[in-house]
Amino acid sequence: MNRVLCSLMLLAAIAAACPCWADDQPSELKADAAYGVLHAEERVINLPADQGKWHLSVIGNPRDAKYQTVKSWFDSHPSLKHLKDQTHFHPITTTSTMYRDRYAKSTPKVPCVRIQSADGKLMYQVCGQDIPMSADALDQAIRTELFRRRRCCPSPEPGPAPEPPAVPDPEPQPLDHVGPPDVAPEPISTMPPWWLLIGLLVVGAGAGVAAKWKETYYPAKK
Amino acid sequence: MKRLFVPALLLVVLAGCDGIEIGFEEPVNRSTARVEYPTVNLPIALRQGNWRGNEGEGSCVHASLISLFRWQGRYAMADHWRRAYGNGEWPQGLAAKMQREDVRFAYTAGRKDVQFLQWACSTRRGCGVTVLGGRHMVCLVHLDKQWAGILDNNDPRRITWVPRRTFLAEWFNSNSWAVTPVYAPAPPLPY
Repeated sequence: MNRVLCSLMLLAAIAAACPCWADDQPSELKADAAYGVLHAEERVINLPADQGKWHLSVIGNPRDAKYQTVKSWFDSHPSLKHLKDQTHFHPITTTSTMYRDRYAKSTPKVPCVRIQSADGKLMYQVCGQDIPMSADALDQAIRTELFRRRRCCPSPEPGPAPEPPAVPDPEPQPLDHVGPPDVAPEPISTMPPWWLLIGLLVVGAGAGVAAKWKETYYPAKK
Repeated sequence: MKRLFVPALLLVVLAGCDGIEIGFEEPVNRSTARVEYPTVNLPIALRQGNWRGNEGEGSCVHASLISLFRWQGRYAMADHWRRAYGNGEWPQGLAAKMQREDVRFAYTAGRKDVQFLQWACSTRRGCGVTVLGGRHMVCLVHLDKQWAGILDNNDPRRITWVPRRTFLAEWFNSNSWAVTPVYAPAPPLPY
């Protein structure tokens, strides 16, 4: 009995030690000074297939109150926040290297709100004084104009700007939405109501039948 | 009478057609979608070069990761990573660091998972990939049916273009480790 107990305890000790070996870094690994890979398994989270996700950029000077206001609309206005949650949202400051080296040439004025399809096509853009005063109006403008294609006119590059203070990264966006946003222009009715059309049809048909009836059976006497 | 009918009908039908010209358009490229080369077109000023860590080892994995952080808009994390980490790295060690820093990431190693590379480049995120038999990590910034674009942190000013098959042969024989943060990639250039 004692032998069996001893064997079980030994097995338990070995089992407890195994995961530790797996987690330990091999001590003999050493990287080259010019490179830096020690060793080469797998961790793959649910990879978001968000190739078709649109991009929403708000570009502006971080010291500009209008830029800060417009940017905050995408957190406070329900519809704009919904749009933000469905797209890759990019607050881009004019003081950043990314802006100066990549987006300055294609940004006519700041602040600027830009919506692009996944491949970069400009779907909506509003800049400078064309940005409305309220979040509701911007939301309405986006709804109305979202599917219009606009071309952007390049403007001269802005002068050098001082380095901005370090700011924390924004909260990462959720990865659930993978395609274009489902924002569509609100339906605008250009037709009269259906009951009016049917009514007019019935009245017109009745009048026609009556006229023909009268013409056939009660011809005008000459 | 019948002989006159047809020409008269034609005259009536064609009446009012003055000024209409039938022409042929010049052949143009109707595909307006602009492909950016490389897909991950990080400005040179934001590309992180390799550096020697305090243990005398290269920091290629961290340099690659920092460039990818910047491309994906995580500038504060990139700066923090540059200050906090260095020297050589391996998959599990890097994974532990990224989990500790609460970084959203994905990686594959030793499985020759080309789909991972495809995913990383088709979503415009890019990824760090091992080369030189697994001794070095560079950024894979482009991968299409023909070409692979590589941003080497030992020469970050230029992109190296190699045939796709050549690159895959290199990666397959370099432990096939690939890793990337999973955040929003920089917006494409508008057109």
